[in-house]
Amino acid sequence: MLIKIKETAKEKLIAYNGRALPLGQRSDYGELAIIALESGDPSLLEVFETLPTLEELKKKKLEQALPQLPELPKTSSSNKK
Amino acid sequence: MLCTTLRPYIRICGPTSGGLARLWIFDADDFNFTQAAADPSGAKPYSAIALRTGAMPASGAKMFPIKFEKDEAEYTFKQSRKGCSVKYEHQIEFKLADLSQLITNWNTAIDTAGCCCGVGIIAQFNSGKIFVAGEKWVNSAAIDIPLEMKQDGSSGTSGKLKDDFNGETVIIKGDHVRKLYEYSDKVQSIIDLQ
Repeated sequence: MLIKIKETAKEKLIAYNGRALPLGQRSDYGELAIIALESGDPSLLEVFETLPTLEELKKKKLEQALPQLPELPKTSSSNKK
Repeated sequence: MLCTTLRPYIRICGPTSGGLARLWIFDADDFNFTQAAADPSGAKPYSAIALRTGAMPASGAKMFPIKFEKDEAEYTFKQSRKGCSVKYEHQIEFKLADLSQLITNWNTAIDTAGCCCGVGIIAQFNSGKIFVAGEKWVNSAAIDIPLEMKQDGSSGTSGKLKDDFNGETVIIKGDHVRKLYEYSDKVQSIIDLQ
């Protein structure tokens, strides 16, 4: 899943996800991509060179929000009743 | 249901607070507000704010903070109707201390904006909610119906006694067809635009 900002948009100032810094100084493009796709705002969509689908972005966000669970030990078949 | 679609109002139980924490004014032509499409729950709050093409911070395209007297800022609205025609009168009132050339110049700028294009206002409530009034551009297009906020009815006094209030009570108001929309992001993103 590749999100890439256009070189020409790196100086663009957009307030989202808690800050308003030039895009070239940020890395939270996933949040901006979701906002752009949910709104269809052309001025946001045009800053992206490549953009995943909204479903992919939301799935990725959900995966990042979920706590990392330790891997459970494998249950051997002999333990089963 | 057969005539209209109503909605519940059930908020998550918890305390809230009155009053305004912060205020900004802005040239409504400088900023574009991004809003996701409405869903069955209704209109969505604004989720992003961007400078429009040609609007440069170095040339004055900024959010201008207002240092009002503490606990002396209030947002009010009044809804009224005649038949099916609905009106919302929005008003922001706050006190600026110390009559001065600075306040004179600030008023000149506000009055010019009121005459020419209206004043954009962002108000952060002490509840934490952030509301927008007077925005003109949404999702890179002219807003359906604009709300023009203008200074109207402000007053000032030098006071008489030394501990009397010396300053201006500013009133900025405008009529609209709906209540204000919220900005759902954190306040730091507005502060960054100052």
